[in-house]
Amino acid sequence: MFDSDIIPDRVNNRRRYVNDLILLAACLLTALVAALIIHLNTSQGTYIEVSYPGSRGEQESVTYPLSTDGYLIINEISPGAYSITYSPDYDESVPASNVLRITGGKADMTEADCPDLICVHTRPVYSVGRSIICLPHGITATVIGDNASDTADDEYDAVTW
Amino acid sequence: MRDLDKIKRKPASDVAYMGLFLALSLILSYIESLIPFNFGIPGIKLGLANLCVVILLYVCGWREALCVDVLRVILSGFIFGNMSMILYSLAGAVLSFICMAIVHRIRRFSPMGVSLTGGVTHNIGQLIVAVFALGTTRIIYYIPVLIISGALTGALLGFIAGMVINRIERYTCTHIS
Repeated sequence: MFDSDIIPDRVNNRRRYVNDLILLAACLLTALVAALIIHLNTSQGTYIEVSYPGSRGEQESVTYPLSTDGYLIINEISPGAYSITYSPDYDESVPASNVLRITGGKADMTEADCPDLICVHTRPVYSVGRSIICLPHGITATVIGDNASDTADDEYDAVTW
Repeated sequence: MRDLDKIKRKPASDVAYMGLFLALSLILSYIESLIPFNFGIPGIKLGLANLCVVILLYVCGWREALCVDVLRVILSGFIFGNMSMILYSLAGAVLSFICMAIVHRIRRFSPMGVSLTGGVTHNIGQLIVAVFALGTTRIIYYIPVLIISGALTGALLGFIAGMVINRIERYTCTHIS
């Protein structure tokens, strides 16, 4: 009843490998086309919006321009609450919860004291809508365009990655 | 001839294979968690455990493979992860399993093609869940990377699965030739 119970016949194996290669090529082509479409639809962002759990127990957000180089240093002021400061330089010996480096219009999380370091491994972001998420700290950094309405529809109520 | 196959089929050996491959898939999940494999995009992984599902699809059948696939996701979720991880993995696993079973049934692809399909659709399934969980379509940006990584890791694992299948299929009781 089920063909899947039969051994694949050896005669057709060469043909199967050709089919595999066609499938692989089709996947890569699809990915390239998708990447091209996405690339054409993205624009360089102008601001980085950092959202973090503030001292009043609710999520606060601040926006910095991507055009000026510097560091956004995020520190835990009390358990589960963070504050953010901007500084043109960063001394690596000073401990910080998260450090977001802004250089050449890109934002990159260079340091974090969380266990998984997913945010640090995330590549630098620069196009509108891209974000770096530090899940253990509840901090998200999202690139936004000229008008803030670009991200207005983007309310995270749960981030689980 | 088909009826004869059915009669000679030994379910006990299938159960043994299922247990064996379930255990193997859990070990592979563990090994995978030890390998630092990071491309800067969350969600990309090798998917070693899928090896077992592909092999089982060939040596036993789709029911047995599905059973092991679902069990391995739930068990490895409890052992190495958490509830949300089970949800993500299960969505990817079920979608990829359906697609792999279909591609396997067509019988025009080798294990490499089957596994490749699984890799790509697994990533797509996880992305779909992520879109719903995060309530944003922004992460669709990941799709090209996820397709490419799924295709490459899937093809690699499928190649290995093919070699294993060639060596063990003569011992399996399901196919008496």
